[in-house]
Formats: sequence, C-alpha cells, structure tokens
Amino acid sequence: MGCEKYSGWLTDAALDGLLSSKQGELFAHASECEACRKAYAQAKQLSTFVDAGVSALVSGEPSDQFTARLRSRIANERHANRAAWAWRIPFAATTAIVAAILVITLANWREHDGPRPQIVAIDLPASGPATPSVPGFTQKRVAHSSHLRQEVLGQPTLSTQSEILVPPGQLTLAMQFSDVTEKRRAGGKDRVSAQAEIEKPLEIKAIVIEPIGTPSPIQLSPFADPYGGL
Amino acid sequence: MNRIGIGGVWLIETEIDALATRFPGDAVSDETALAREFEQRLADCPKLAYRVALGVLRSATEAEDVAQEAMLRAYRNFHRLRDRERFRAWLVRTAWRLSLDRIRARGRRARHEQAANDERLRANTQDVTAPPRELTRQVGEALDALPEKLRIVMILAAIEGHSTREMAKLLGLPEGTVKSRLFLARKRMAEKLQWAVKNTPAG
Repeated sequence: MGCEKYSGWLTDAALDGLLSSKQGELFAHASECEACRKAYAQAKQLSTFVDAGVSALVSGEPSDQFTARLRSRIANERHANRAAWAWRIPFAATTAIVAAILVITLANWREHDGPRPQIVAIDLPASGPATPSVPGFTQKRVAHSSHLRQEVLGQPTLSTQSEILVPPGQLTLAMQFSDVTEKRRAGGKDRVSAQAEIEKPLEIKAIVIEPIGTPSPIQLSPFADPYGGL
Repeated sequence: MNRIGIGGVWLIETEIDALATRFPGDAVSDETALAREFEQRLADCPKLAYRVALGVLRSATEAEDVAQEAMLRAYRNFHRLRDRERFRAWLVRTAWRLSLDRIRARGRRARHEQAANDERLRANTQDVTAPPRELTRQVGEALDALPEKLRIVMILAAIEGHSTREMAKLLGLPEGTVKSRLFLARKRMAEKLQWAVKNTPAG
C-alpha cells in the first residue's frame, strides 16, 4: 500500500506543515488505508495536545490590582523625577554662577599675568621750551615722536600730554601697545613682546658736527667770541 | 469615570477636557493626549505582557512583576510608541527579555517549586480542555527545551490565537520565517511528548 512513504508525512500534516499537493496525496491514501488513518488521528491528537498544553501554560490574567499598582508606580516615578529636578535646578544654577565668576576671574588674571612694562615718560610744560638735561637731544626725539604720532593717529601731540620716549622706528609699536593697554585688551604675551621692544637700548648715532658758519650780528654776544679766539 | 495621571496627579477625564479646552495646543493638551492613549493601552496590553511572561516564568506572581516592569518601561518610552502595533510589538519583546533575565537570575529548581505552589496556575490547569497537571509540567519542560527563537513563536501562537501575520508583526520577522519556526517548534514538542500522549486516555 506504500504506507512507509506516508508515515513521515503524517506528523507534518497533523501540524499543518505539509505542502498542499502532498497533503492531497496523503489524504487520498489515508481514505483507503485504515492504519494510516489511525496514525494520522494519533498525530492530530498529539498536535492538539501540544497546543492545548502550551495554551494552558500561558492562560491567565493579571490580578485586579495590576492596573492600580501600575498607576501608583507611574505616579511615584513622576513624583521622584520632579523631586530629582527640583534638587538639580538650584544646583545647576549655583554651578553656572560659580563657573561664570571663575571665568571672569581667570580672564582678569590672564590680563595681568605678564610683567608690567615700565614706560618712561617725560612731561612737557604747557608753555615755554623744555629744559632737558642733554641740550637738543630730547627735543629732537619729542619732535620726532610727535611727528610720527600725527602720522599714525592723525592727531598732534598736546603740549601738556605725557610723552613716551622711544627709539626711532619703534614708536608705532609702542603706541599700539599703549592704546591696547589703555583699553585693557592687552594680554600678558603682548605686553612681554612690547616690553622687549621698548627695552631695547636706544640707538644713539654719532653726531656729525657741521662747520659753523658766520654768525649773524644779532646772535653775537659781547661775552662770547664767535671766532673761538682766532 | 476614568482617571488620567498628569504630573503625578490623577485627574478625572472631565478635568482634563477642561484643561485641554482652556489651553488648546499647548503642552498640557499634548500630555493629555499621551495620557489618554496610554490609558487605552493599559486597558488591553497588560494581559499580553503578562501571558508572554507567564509562558516563560510559569509563575503568576513573577509574570505580573515582569508585566508591571514592561508596562512601566513602555510608559517611559510612550512618546515613541504611540502606534498601537508598535507598542504591542515593543511590549512583547520587552516582556520576553525581562522574563529571560529573570530565568537566568534564578535557578531552574526554584522556578519549578514556585510554579508548583502557585495557586493561580493550578486553577488554570483545571480547564477541561487542558491536559492534567503532570502533563502540563511535561509540556512546560518541552517548551523550555526549545531554543528561544522557537519558544517565543510557540508562546505567541498560544496567546489569544495570534495568526502567523500577527506574530510576524509582533516579532518583526517575515511571515514565512514565523510559519517555519512555528512548525519546527510544534514538531519538536510533539516528538518529546509523543510517549505521554500514548499513555493518556483519548478524549
């Protein structure tokens, strides 16, 4: 009857896992074979038993208190979250304030971390000629710096203004440094570099003495010999 | 009259409606809508989580704890799970993972002792369509012996008569995969339980 061929198909058919073409063939055979019909019925019973057994394991419902308990837990959690945030907000605000103070303090400290340059200045009187210790030298320098200041800043030197004495060629740098310092924007690094420039020794060139020409009669003094005693 | 939780305070629905009317479109009404949707999930989804957990843990008390935890986590992530199908799929997977974690956390012997003492489970086994208690234990053992991939399909198929398509949605798998896994699971269980059925009177 070919029952060996169909024995392997019986369980699959009972578990709804057999192809429909094979299933038709199996059922056609089972309709004529008592043994296969019985085997199929047993396989089907086994399948039903498995399904019923698993269904029994997973049947059941949560208790009546389930929803109330869950709502209570949700409410508690929300309350706990709020309490946590209520503690965190003042803490965060305090931290932010402390951080801001720290940043401001550090910024100020950074501005003054370099050595403070010593700027040598001379005062010019409001009127009348200057009386420098070395005749002609300071006046020449002041005139030179005044000229450069006018070039750089577009404003002349006031007679009452303090003037910084710097070597020729470094005045622009010194003035920039001075401006930055006044505006409190200079960092320690800028100051150090500017100080290094300023502290360079003055370059004093040899003075070329021109032959003295004939003085005018107005300049002659009765106490001086314009010809050097010649 | 339903009560809805907002900000840790339970309000009755009429109060919520009043709030939503007074402040249309603001955060209150959005939170109200979320709370209302969660209430709907709360009405039908805990049973699903509970049964998935029960299929793994075989203990009503523990299954309820797992279902509670899964629903609480679902509540925390509800803004991402507003779609009903997505919510159910997420809940099944979470309950499944939590249950497996519990299984790993405790010994197998302790689980069986607790299951034996569980009054609710005993009541379930007295269903006329269900096999006797000893057979139920054997079915449980056969189910536990399945690989996790096959076991979840078997459990879901037994819960609420889920179809292959519904299980595929819940598990995020192709329908064919679910079908073949279900067949394999049932076949393995049938092979294990074959001798037990032969010794059981037909009926």
